[in-house]
Formats: sequence, C-alpha cells, structure tokens
Amino acid sequence: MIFVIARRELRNLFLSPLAWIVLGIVQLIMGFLFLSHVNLFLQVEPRLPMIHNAPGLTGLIAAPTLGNAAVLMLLIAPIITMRVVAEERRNHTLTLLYTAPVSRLTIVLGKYLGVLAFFLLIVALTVLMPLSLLVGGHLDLGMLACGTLGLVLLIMSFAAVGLFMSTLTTHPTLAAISTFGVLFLFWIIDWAGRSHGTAGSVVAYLSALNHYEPFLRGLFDTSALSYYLFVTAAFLGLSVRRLDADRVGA
Amino acid sequence: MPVPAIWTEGLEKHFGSVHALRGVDLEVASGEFFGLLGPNGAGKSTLINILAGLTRASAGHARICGHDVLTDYRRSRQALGVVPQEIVFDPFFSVREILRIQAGYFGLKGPENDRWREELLAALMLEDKADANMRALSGGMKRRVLIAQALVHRPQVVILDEPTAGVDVELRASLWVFIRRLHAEGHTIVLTTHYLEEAEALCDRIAILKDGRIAALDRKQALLRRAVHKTLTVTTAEVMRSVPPGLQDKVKKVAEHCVELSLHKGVDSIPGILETLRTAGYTIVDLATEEADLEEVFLELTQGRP
Ligand SMILES: Nc1ncnc2c1ncn2[C@@H]1O[C@H](COP(=O)(O)OP(=O)(O)OP(=O)(O)O)[C@@H](O)[C@H]1O
Ligand SMILES: [Mg+2]
Repeated sequence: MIFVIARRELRNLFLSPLAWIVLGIVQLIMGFLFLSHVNLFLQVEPRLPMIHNAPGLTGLIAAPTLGNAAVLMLLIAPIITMRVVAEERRNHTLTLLYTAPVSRLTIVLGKYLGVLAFFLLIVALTVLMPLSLLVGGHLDLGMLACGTLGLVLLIMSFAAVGLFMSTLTTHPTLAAISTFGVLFLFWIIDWAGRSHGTAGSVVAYLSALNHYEPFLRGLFDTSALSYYLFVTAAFLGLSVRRLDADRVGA
Repeated sequence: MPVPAIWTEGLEKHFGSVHALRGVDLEVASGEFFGLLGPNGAGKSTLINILAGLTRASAGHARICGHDVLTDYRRSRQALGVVPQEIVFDPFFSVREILRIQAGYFGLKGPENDRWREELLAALMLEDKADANMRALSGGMKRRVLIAQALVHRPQVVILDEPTAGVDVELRASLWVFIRRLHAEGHTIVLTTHYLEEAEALCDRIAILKDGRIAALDRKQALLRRAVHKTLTVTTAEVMRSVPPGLQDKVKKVAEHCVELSLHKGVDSIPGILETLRTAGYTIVDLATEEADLEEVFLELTQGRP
C-alpha cells in the first residue's frame, strides 16, 4: 500500500511540469558549479605536490560540489514538497485516500517515500558529476560515499519538514514558504550558536549544517546520523498527528 | 438475525456551534435499497462522512456490516463504497490510472481486478474516455468516474450522495439502470437525492432527515400512506368566479372551469364538498382525486405543515 501511494506521488510529480523544471535547473546549476570547481582545481594542481598531505580531487572538487548541492536542496525541498498534501486537500482528493483502508501512517510514509525518491534521483545525478572524474583521475571513494550519505540524510530531513508543512495548509505556496522558513532557520541557527556559551552550543546542535560538514570531510559521525534520523522521524510523526486531526475536525 | 449493512446508534456531530446530527439511530438491512432524504443542511452528508471515516462523530457508534468504523476501520471501509457529493479529481491522471491507483489503495491487483475495472468502465460508458485526462472530462463524466472509483473494491454497501445532481436526463436514466443492477446483484444501496420521484421510483425504504434527526423512517408505501392530504380536482360547467366560503381554506389552485382542493384525509368528505359547490350554483362536470406523492409527504414532514 505504501508503495502504491509512493508511486502515485512520484508519478504526480512527473506529470506536472514543475518537477521537470526543477530537475533541469538543478542540473544546470550543479553542472556549472562542478565545472568551476574543476577549473579551480586545474589552477592549483601544479602547486599541490609541494604541499604536505595535500587534498586530492575528492577534497577539492567532490566535497565542495556536494556542499553546494546542500544549499540547492534548501531551495528546492520546499518547492517539491509543497503540494504533497496541501494540493490534495485543496482538490478534496484526500477524501479518496481517507475512505480507503489505509492508516494515516501509511499515507504519510507513502507520500514521503514518493518525494524522497525524487530527491534521491537528484542526489544520484549530482553525485554522477564527481564520479565522472574517475575516468581520468583517482577519487577517494570512501570520502565520496560519506559525503553522499550526508547529503541523503540532509534531504531526508528536509523532505520530512516539507511534508509536515504541507499537511498544515490547503495552500501549496504557504507550505513552500513556511518550509523554506523553517529550513533556513535550521541552517543559520549555527551562527547564533557560535557566540554564546552552553546555550549557544545547544542551539548550534540543532543546526542542520553543522551536522553535514563532518560528512563532507569523510567522517562518519553517528551523532549526526542520529540527528537527521531524529528530525525526520519527528516531522513524520507530527504529520501523522496532523492528518488524524483532519478527521476529528472538519 | 443477519448483520445489518449499516447500523448507527446515537450519532451526534457538532461543528463548532452547529449541531449537525442530533442522535441518529439507523439500521439498514443487507440487500436493501434505502433512500436518505432531507432538505439542504439536514445532515445527510455528515452522516455519510461518519460512515466513511471522513469525519469522527462527536458521540455514538456506527458499523458497516458489523465492523465499527473507528476500531475496525479497515474492514468497515473494505465493505463500503461512497460516491461523494462533490466532484473531486486528480487533474493529472487518466481515468484508467485513477481507477488503478484507487484499487491499489485497497491492495487489489492481478488480472481479475483489471477485468473488473474494465467492466466498470463499460457499464458506466466511460470506455472511450478511459485514457483521457480527468481535466478533459465533462461534469457528468467525472461523476461517473467517481462512481467507478467507489466500486473498484466491490463493496457490499454502496452509498451514493446525490449521484444524479447535474446529470442530464438520458444519463440519469442509465445511472438508474446501473444502480438497479448493482442492487439486483446483492449490493446494499443507500441513495441520497433531492429528486423525490427518483427516490420514489427506486427505494424500498426511506428515511427523512431533518435538522440532524430522523423525522420519518418507513417503507415507501407506508410513508406515502402517511400523507394526510390528497388533491381533489373539480371541473364545473360554469366559470368559477368565487370559491364558496366554506372551501376557501382548502383551495390550491383555481382556473376558469376548474378548482383544485387539498383535502384532509378523514376530516373532509368528498360528497360534502360537492354538495357545497352545488349549493353555490355550480354544475359539476368532472372530478378527479390524486393521492399524495412523496414530494408532498416530504414537504409535510420537513416543513411541519398540518
Ligand atoms: N466541515 C463543516 N464545518 C462546519 N459545518 C459543517 C461542515 N460540514 C457540514 N456542516 C454543517 O452541518 C450541517 C449539515 O450539513 P450536511 O452537509 O450534512 O447537509 P446535507 O444534508 O448533506 O445537505 P445538502 O442536501 O445540501 O447536501 C449544515 O448546517 C452544515 O452547515
Ligand atoms: Mg450533502
């Protein structure tokens, strides 16, 4: 059942021009960023042998590319997730799902997996760019895998936040704006954390960016892993509660 | 006793300050063709939404084929198909896709279910539109898709909330045929409609809902017999100038040679009325009586007319 809902969601995305436009623009921007990193690398390459323990292709091209991808995800997550529930509620098609023998949890997970599949496609296409360097160079595959995992975790939590915002309203644009607001807050909260003592470190802990950086450096950080999984689970749980409230009220 | 198709007890629903349902006890037997009537805002759709699990009742219980709509919702929803009052659709999908997805929600797949969906498309005359986008369908076609959608899982109980609203005459007739066929195949049908002749023609038993309460619930014939008024039409040789004083409060309509009177059963006698007319100098040429139809019963019950 979950997969029926997920497939419908994914298909719905691709039946509208929005997903294609997003996909196209993301590829364009990522391609551009990737090439400029390559360009930068070519400029510094002659000097690299002189540096002890110099960063390689992975550190100079793959990691910054994945870093840029995270920022881009911050922008597209609201756009892709905004319609998931809000639009169906607006069209009243949610009732067709509600009269079927599926639980709210199934609905939430199905829809979540549907949008997540789309994001994973974007991640895959993004990772292909640094992977293409294998043709002529040597990559630290472990580090790349770690960075990819980080990006996947990041987008998992973004998608959960977006899904929850979409369950709150009947207006997709409102959902998009609030998702962006929340994600941006999670992003910049780190800045507030830097200056203040223990309170600051608590705040900094909440930062989505803080937990992403170690992955880019090739460090597998279990606390970061649990952070993303916790955020994802929390927002999915809230979404289920929100859908339950639908039935109690109107 | 067999398990009733629909059973409710003390159903109440509040929407803020609106008291939409005020204690509804209802039992619809398996295989019945049941009519649910009532003026706008009576609470028909609210009742249906509770049965379908779209709204939670403020108080009371409801069961479909013996399965509680809250605690045993999977089985109660398997047993129920609801055609909603409002036309809802996914704009991007084709008719066939929509039906396939809906069947998927019920965990149905395989060639047998594919065949059933094709049968539904044929029965509802949607075959040539099966691959068309939902957006491209007319209102009546969308409504037929909704009917097909409610039937993909072959539910025992089918509830149709005003299926014929905004549907042309020809299509309405074919929908009747289709619904009758479902009933003949053993499905329990609950029909909501504002076309009373439709309810009169189709339903065995009828409930009239008013202000969130069941104002009447009976077999159709018994309900029709309940009418306290009938109509007497008298044609006279002379032009009807003024209606005799004793009859004025009964007049429904006066034409040149003809007067239509509304009689209270058991109180007004036809010979007495004819006598009054003769005394007033009229020669009676013809007379006809007409029993009340469902519409009159409905108006009497919902407007509290004497
Ligand atoms: N979601 C809601 N929020 C607030 N009030 C509602 C809601 N749904 C229904 N109501 C109110 O409940 C009452 C019953 O409405 P309902 O839709 O059940 O009537 P109905 O009998 O189906 O009428 P109609 O023949 O017009 O379809 C109305 O007073 C309506 O305003
Ligand atoms: Mg209604």
